[in-house]
Amino acid sequence: MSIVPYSALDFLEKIQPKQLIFMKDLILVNSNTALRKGSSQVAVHAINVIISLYNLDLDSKKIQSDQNVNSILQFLDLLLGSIPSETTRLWLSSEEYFEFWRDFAAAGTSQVRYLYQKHMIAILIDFLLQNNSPLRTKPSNIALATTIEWDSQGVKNIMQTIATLIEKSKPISGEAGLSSDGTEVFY
Amino acid sequence: MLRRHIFSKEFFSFLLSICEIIKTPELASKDPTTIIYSGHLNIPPKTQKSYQLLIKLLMELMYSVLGCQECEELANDVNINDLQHLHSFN
Repeated sequence: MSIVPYSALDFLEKIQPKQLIFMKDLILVNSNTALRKGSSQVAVHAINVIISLYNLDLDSKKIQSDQNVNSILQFLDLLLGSIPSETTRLWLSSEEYFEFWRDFAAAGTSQVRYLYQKHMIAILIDFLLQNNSPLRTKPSNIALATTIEWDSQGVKNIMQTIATLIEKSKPISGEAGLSSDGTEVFY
Repeated sequence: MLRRHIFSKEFFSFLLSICEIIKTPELASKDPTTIIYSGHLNIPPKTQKSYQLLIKLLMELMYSVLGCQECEELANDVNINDLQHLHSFN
């Protein structure tokens, strides 16, 4: 796809609304590791190529008229929604899922901006801390816990994603760069 | 019956042979932010077409054949580590 970037557009046919859950399950739920890895790598590479080819802005706060951006955003939002419930339940098979986010974060500014808008760092740290996370206050969330192996590839992928986001963070200039409590806002 | 043939070592060897016949240029940059090959506009249209067909073929194989739920059991019966070669055609 790097060599013939327009071929990445074929991937958009695979993330039409009726196929979104199937595509997400292929990356996270499928019992075959090689297939999870392959589909994760193809998906992240195709998305990164399309973003780079058309210089797309994945700003989810803007109303998007570009159908390609909408398709990609729908897929990313669905995928992101799997943290923490599905990734907790499927922790042992989620290495490829977190590999997707690692490679997505490393690819460019548009990707980093999208992840900042979604509070990805907080989502990942909350997931790693499990029931010790300050974000989990409701008793019903206690069920959302698994034993995280800290030396697993899944955790390494999560840590690399967080490191990339921190490394690439930039404070937003001007008034938009300050939150209501006066702290700096990053993208 | 057709699916049993698809999940055979012979079929995967055949696909790999096709992949090996179509030579792709060396991607010099390992930088993840350089996503598109800088020389992609200089590739002759016929060669581009063959790359495109190969990508389409592998994508269909993964998403339409191997990924379908009915095939999950069959896919697990056969060692499909060959699929990992897919990433080199990204």
